[in-house]
Amino acid sequence: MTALLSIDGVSKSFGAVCALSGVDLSVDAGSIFAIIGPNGAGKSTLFNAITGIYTLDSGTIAFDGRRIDGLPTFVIARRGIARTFQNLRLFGFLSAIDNVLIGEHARMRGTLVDSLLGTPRARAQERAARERARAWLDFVGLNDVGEQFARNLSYGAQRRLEIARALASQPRLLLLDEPAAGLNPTEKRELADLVRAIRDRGVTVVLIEHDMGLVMSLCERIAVLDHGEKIAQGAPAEIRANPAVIEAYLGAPA
Amino acid sequence: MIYVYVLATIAAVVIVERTRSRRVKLAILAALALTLAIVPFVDRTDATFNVLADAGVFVMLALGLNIVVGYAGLLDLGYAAFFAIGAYAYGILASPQFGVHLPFWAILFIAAACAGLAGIVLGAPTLRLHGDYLAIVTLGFGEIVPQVFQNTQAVGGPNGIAALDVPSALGHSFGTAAVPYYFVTLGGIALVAWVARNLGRSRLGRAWMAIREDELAAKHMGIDTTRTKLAAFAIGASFSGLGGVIFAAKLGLVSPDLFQFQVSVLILSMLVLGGMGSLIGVVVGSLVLSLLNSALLPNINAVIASTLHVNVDLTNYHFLIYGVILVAIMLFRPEGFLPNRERRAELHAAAITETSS
Ligand SMILES: Nc1ncnc2c1ncn2[C@@H]1O[C@H](COP(=O)(O)OP(=O)(O)OP(=O)(O)O)[C@@H](O)[C@H]1O
Ligand SMILES: [Mg+2]
Repeated sequence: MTALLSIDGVSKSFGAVCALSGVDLSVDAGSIFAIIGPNGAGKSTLFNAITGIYTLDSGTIAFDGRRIDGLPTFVIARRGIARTFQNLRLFGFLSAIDNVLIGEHARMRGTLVDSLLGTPRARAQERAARERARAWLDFVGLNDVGEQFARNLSYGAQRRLEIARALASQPRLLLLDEPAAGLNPTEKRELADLVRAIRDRGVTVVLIEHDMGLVMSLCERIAVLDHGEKIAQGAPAEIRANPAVIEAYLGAPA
Repeated sequence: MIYVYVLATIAAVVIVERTRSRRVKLAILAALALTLAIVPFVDRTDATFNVLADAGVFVMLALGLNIVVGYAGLLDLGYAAFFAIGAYAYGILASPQFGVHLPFWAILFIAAACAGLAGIVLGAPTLRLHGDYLAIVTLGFGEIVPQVFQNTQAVGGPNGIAALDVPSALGHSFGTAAVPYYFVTLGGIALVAWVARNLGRSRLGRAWMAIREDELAAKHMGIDTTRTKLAAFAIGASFSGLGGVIFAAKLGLVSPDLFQFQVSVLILSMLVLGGMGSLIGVVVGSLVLSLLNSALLPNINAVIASTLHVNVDLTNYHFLIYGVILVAIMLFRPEGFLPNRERRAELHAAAITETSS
């Protein structure tokens, strides 16, 4: 298998805090990959580095064989990397469907003239985009909420909406930052099914998660970060048995 | 009479906004357009159309600023600069000053392009700034542009340019009456409102809203935020350039003192009054504030003079009066009179969190 995402020796510090130091990671196309680690381990920072929010202190990131580090965030998004945020970043005062439509932005064609004049072409495209947006809402299990403000949806629905918005850009890689946080057990099961369904559509998924049960049952590969360093990587069974991981989590030698 | 026209227009646009059926909407709009077109042939008081034409220019300006502030959420306090650029474009291209006499209609295009370009020139270095910082830089730009005209002797310095060409259409000169300008502004408003409406429903319009709501998230959707913001500045500015040409042609002169900071504030107040982001709100807000200054206050002066036998000139206090209106709006209806759905919820929530925290 080929690596869809390869991260090589990536370091990033904020002042004295070394959030990432020399992290290597390679994610195979078509897999569900988990990044775990204690609070403050640098997991979200890694996502932010991938999507170009931070410039790296050192190291490289390649997506589908091409370097993406140093590119602006919007270009990286257009290359096919979508994400959700640990603390939801929906467009709260826009409707659910508009949120998903904005997700489609990069996939829609249209010149300035189309936008200015509302040409028949633009309107046809708009209708098609709206259809697709509804389909994405259905796909994540959000029916009949299209016209509601994103911020008025229940917490679980907002999490799903964020996933729908990310999928609308038709990414090849989806980064989910703690998608199960705050969900109840039923919702977590549904989320796991959703993630599998996403993968089955050919999207590679990398998720950050604290719920070990969920991670172990859902993911094929796991990487463990601690204090900005990758301390282990492997299949769920290997990670469960890895002494360094147990130590990082329990704070004592196993 | 003027109040009847304006109130009837406002009523019509509000009804259009509230009706669902597309046919009914189009029918009402057609009837409105027809009525507005016929009125000058029935009512021959030129003063009325003088006031309405001036108000019309401000409706165009407000619709342009609405793109920048209402749609994209970029606080621009120097918008009058683009108005000035449009007006001076007419002054330079249609006056004896330079011996250039291009047709009015051609200058409309040129001025819109120049103002749009100026929008990009202002936007490019400043768009990394946010909120208050952006507001301050645009405020500076708004002050600099009239200053530059004031200090450039070639465009008449503080005196500006006078004796501008009187426009003509189909070989007929506009003459001294206000009615032709009234028609031009009607057309201008129709064009600009139509474009603004298209934009609001387009991919570009949604990108502006995304930036307004959460710029970082917008970038993650593949939106080139810099270009998208520049587009807002350029399009908003070009509307203002059109307004400037009409304004200058009607007045027959341009001078730097016509484009002071107050003008920017006035246009912004129109948005706040009507409801940012809402086309209907912006049209109504700008009509109301324009009329307040040019018709209502003088009328009240006359009433006060005849009943109380004191001579006051309320137009001297118009900024005080705007201030009171704006404070009242902020307290009781922060989303403006006729807001759109998104902005209503947002501005209302923002005002409530601010007062309760
Ligand atoms: N923008 C920033 N500026 C300064 N420090 C930061 C910044 N972002 C992250 N950090 C620091 O970097 C370290 C790693 O943070 P990060 O958010 O990546 O952790 P995390 O693994 O996602 O933790 P959690 O499980 O709590 O989400 C923390 O010490 C954090 O305080
Ligand atoms: Mg995190």
